[in-house]
Amino acid sequence: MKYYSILLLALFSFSSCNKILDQQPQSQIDPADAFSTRAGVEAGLIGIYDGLQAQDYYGLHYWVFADLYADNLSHTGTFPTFAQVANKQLLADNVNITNMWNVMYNMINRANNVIKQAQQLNDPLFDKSGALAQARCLRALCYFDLIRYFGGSATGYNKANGAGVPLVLEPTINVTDATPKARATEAEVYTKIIEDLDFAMANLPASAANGRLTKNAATALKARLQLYREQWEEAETLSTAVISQFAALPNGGLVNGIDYTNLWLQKNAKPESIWELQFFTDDANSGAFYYYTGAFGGRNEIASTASLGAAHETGDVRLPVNRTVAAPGIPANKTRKFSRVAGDDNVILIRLAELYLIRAEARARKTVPDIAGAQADLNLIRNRAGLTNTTAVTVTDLVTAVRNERRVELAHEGHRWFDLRRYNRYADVGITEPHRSLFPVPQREVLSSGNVIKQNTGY
Amino acid sequence: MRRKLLVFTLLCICSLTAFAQEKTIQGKVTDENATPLSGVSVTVKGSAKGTVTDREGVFTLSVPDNARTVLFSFVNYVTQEVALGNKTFIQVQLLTEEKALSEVVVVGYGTQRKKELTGSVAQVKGTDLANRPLQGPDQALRGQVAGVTVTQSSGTPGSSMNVNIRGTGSINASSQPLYVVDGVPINTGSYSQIGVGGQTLNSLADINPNEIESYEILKDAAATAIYGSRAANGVVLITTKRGANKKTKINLSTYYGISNVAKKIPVLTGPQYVELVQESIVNRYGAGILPSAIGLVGLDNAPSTFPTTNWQDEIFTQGSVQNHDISAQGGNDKTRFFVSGSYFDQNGIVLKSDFKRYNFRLNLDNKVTDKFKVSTGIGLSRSVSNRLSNDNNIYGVVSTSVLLGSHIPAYNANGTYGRDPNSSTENPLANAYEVTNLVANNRILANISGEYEILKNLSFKSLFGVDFIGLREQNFIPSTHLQAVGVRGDGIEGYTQDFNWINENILTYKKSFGAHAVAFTGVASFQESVFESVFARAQNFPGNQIRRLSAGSVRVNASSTGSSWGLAGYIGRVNYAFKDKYLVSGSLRRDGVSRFGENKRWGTFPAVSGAWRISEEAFMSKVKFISDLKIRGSYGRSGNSSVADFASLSLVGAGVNYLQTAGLSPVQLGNPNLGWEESEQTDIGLEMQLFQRINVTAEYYIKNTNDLLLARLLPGSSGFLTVTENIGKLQNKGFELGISGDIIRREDWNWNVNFNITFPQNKVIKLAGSPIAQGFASWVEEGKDLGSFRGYVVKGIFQTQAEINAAPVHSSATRPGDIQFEDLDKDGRITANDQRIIGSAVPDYFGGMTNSISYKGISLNVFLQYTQGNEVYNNTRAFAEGMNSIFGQAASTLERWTPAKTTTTMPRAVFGDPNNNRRNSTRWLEDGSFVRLKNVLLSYSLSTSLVKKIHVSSLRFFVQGENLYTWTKYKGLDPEVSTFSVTNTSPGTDFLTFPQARTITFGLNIGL
Repeated sequence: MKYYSILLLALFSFSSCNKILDQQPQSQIDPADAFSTRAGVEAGLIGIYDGLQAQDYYGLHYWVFADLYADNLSHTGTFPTFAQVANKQLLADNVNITNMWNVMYNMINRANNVIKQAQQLNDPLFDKSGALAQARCLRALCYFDLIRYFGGSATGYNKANGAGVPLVLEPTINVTDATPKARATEAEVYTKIIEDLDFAMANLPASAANGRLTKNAATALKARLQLYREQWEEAETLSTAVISQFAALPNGGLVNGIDYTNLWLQKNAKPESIWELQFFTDDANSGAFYYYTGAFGGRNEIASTASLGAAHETGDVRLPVNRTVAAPGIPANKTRKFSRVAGDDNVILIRLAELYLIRAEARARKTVPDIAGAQADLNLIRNRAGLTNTTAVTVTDLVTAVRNERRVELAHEGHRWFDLRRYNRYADVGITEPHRSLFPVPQREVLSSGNVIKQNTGY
Repeated sequence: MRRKLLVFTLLCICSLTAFAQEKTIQGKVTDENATPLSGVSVTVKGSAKGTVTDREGVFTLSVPDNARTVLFSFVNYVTQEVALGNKTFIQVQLLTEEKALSEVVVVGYGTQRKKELTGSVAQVKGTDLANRPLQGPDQALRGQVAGVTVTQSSGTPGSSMNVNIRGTGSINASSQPLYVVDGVPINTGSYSQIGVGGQTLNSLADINPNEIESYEILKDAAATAIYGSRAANGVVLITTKRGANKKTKINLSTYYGISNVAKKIPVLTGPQYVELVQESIVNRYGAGILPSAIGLVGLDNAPSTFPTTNWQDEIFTQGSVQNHDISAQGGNDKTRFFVSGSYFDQNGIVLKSDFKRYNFRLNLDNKVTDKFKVSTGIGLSRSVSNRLSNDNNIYGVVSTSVLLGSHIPAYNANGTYGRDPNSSTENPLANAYEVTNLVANNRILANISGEYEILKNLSFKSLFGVDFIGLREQNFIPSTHLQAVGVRGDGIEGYTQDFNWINENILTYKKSFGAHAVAFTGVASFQESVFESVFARAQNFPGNQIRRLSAGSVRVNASSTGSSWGLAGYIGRVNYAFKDKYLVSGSLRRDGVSRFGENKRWGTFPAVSGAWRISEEAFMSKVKFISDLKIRGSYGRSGNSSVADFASLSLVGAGVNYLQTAGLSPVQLGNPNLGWEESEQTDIGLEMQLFQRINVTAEYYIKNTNDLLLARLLPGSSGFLTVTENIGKLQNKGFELGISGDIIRREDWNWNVNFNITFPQNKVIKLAGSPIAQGFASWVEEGKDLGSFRGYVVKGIFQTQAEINAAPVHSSATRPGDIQFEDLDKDGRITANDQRIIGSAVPDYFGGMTNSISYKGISLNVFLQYTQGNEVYNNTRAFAEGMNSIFGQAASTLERWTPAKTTTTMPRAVFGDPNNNRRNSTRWLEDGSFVRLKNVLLSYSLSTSLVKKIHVSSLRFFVQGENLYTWTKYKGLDPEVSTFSVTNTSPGTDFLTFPQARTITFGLNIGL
């Protein structure tokens, strides 16, 4: 009798054992299940866009550092990592730079997963080409943005022997996929970016919900890319492809000068805003928080420089937007482009004004310069800002004028440092060592790849 | 569960016995000093037959022929069973319960007499720690046991302790021991969802140390391997107090005390601070440049016009601690009980920090029949604490008291908080007063068990235990605080619960025949832990009166999650002794854990050990001064499974939303071959007693941890940052020595010394690849200590531009007064490669010493804790002596370099610090050695005659002091510090951490 009891007990024990050991996650799922349905792939696509919002990317650091490593922003806060950027003395273990690299590649992996799974999915309700176009365009943006900081040459972009970044085009599914890949050349990376952008331009819709990619957005990004690559003719053609749709509108489609701040204070000012990253209080960024002082609920990490203020001509409506004057609810020396400490400011990724400036520069610098065309584009931007027509007539003067115009028009939007690189003018912001034109590849990346991924020279 | 109860019932029914012819036996009962005991009850086991001893301790009893066992029981003495055999005369010596207990230690799944131990088990008695103002059981262990490092991360009430048994045994997985309370392995660590800085919650603080009878620390593999997959970091067995077969005794114990900060960091006055800032700006931007020129507001005026606020004086306050405890303990030969209730209340030495705890416990044992015993232990607790933002946090109370400049007034004339317009560093008083940060934890630790004696020598015990944690957190930051000005009030609430149940079934067989003694233990163990949490956050409140989320108009977050793990284990252990002289033991545990990959779910953990009690040998009988001598050795393997619940799986996670639409993204790269982290430990020990009054235990151990559960770094370009793999090796070895002895042992005059010392060594043998940077300056590298610091090496201060020109290139902005660093790689430039290991947080030796002196009713206990040869990385100074920005600065910066003051080690003040004088370097590394007068306790017990007059059974008054004095060269607030709280890789780092308090308490114990 008693032995039976023990036996019973033992049986109970063994049968419950497997159940105890079979525990399932509740908040995550198996990748094989995740992206096997239309809903899954569409959610994966949203996940790629979400990557853009990261604080280390367009949530903050990507565009802040482009102005802070230059002359538009000063460091008024306390983060040593920001001080390194402001001092132009970056160390390879700067955690913000490391995370920026990692976040972009994380987003690339998200895109690679969606691209792979979308191709295999056969669901009549699934817009396969649209999904692929978005995923590939987002991947192209990441690679372009990686090159902008970590690639190219000390003297600019698309020069001989320019440095690229590792080119990963397949999803990392298991550990062997994570084997380090050496850096491709700058040219190889451009080839893939262009393939992706061309596919995107061919397959993206003409219009989409705010915050989603459109054909115009992809075209505009490619225009920017070709400007960096100094492919002037193509940059002009691409920007014209977008601009021409709005040429008949007042101001060539640009927001009125009097409403200039509405680009940011109201959101999604179409058609000037071509692609705008959408934020909400429950899906927020830290832009205004980093600018604003403590009394306004911010951390006062960054401020507009006096030099940025001085770059404005008298009467420029953009001055109080780019370098604020203290007023009720507005701290001094900040920007109106970021004003919501709760974090629901949108981040404009590309807008029509930039395309006019791209075209102005391309027209001025192409093999057979179009001085009048360049002046017309530049004047459109200047007139909107309340300024008179440009006095520049030579190519050199026009290029200088566009450079200054870009600084003022696109301040706080993450362009200044890259423009200085393009014009090979890093010395303008006090950099004496040419190697500091490229950001260091994260030390973590070099070490964890066993030096397969090489550091930029000089670091 | 229901089936389990049925089995018990079945077991109970099976105990029937028959009677036959009778015979007469005689005997004598004495105590351990051979004094006859009268009135001892003598009964035949399993029958009603019995008698009592007479004045001479003699008895006569007629027993049935088939009677096998006779029981001797007496109040305050341990009941003894004697096998009858063919004996007709029985001589019995009864041991007092106290004496018997002192010879028994609790081991995994049972108890053993100390002299029979073949493994390394250290015991700490609850009574030795009585009346100290201890927050939890982990705090109690500090300095008591050789080989056990207990580091209190900070003085934050209710916060965590870092406990390492024989070194830090892991890099990524937990290195904390397994805690088992009355047979139930409990949940430990922090369950908080709201980050407030480095200092985390500690779920061990839910346990009242006054309920604890003893702590057994299982150190070597022979002792721990029976806990298999969770034993690699050692095991702490906690046994709560239980009833006894004696008259009920009621104990009342109470104390109250005050605490204060032992040390503050000297800081600049307001004028000195402004002078420094102005000088740093001139040094950077040129003569005549005022702070306003670079956008700093309000710093242009003459320094002498600024006020001074010493923020540390503002936020440090007199704390208090009190504890009131009542318990009753008693029973009879059938039923025993222990009940207790207590209230512990600690107010920290920093404004608005506190911890309160209420505990209740009932432990009950009943002998249903001679063969069947049921027991329960129910512990309930509620802990409530007000936490402060702390450590690396611009809203931390202690941190801002250092980081905010002293030129800012505490309050403005209009009553608002003084704030630095140039800084987002909030006023420390606002940090303390404005923010609500409440945590309330309800916990149930309960078990029931039944034990049935199936056959003579064979018993079966089944135990069910539960550890339930329900933790509620509420955080509210009003719009009057800088952190929530922009969002008009920010509230977070979280609820977390963990339900952890265990069932263990233990079969025990013990038999002696002739000179041989054998004991066998078999266990089947099943455990499951289910975790759930909800989290919600809202902003934009209508004013600050309503602090619950219902009032917030913007719902920022509402989420919930859950996780779980399960463990099944089968255990066998055999102990064999020959003539009580040669002892061997072997155990084997097979464990399955849900956390690991399908391929590696089950693991096997064996251990063998042996001991030779040399003092039992005939040749030793002549060596009179050695009263006991034992050599023991063990080898075994145990595991560590404390990684994330689903670390082996590739996972896609949610929450990556955009456009208010839900997204998915890959979050974890799986590893189906993920398995145990295994540690193999060899231990050799010597136990010796000299002159019957000095006990010496010396041990040497080598613990190799293999297959480390390591997060191998992946290049970020793979899309992932790490993958958890079993790679890497770690070695801990060391020598431990414990000496305790009675220097004076007289009737009313005693002096006992208890000393322990440990010489630990720790080395990372192998890693997954590249070294790992951790914390601020911590560094994990093959061949180095786990806990190493890495940085640049300061060579000196540049005195002239010529020196700078001749030296390796630092930066284009380097000027006289800046620091010259060593160019370790001799490439003519100071780059990242000019860093090396500069120190280690692993001490050369550490330990504790207790002196107990008593004279009649007066006793004095003095406890010293010490550690020698470890470094502390003082990151607080990297800010308070940085002289590079708008942070408040320490008074030591008055020694800074200027053209007029060149003989100094403090560099010049320069805004933005272009030479990076404040980089990680030997400059911030300090000797962390200390000797601490941890506790002094003076007590007076009234004599028995006096006590009787006031109708109590005992009365004792005491006064005690905790952290009375610390001898150290360390410049920070407290050398015992860890800003990263419980950490394997970044210990010994100080960053604006809440120091431990100096506490004086008064109290009394009354026995009724």
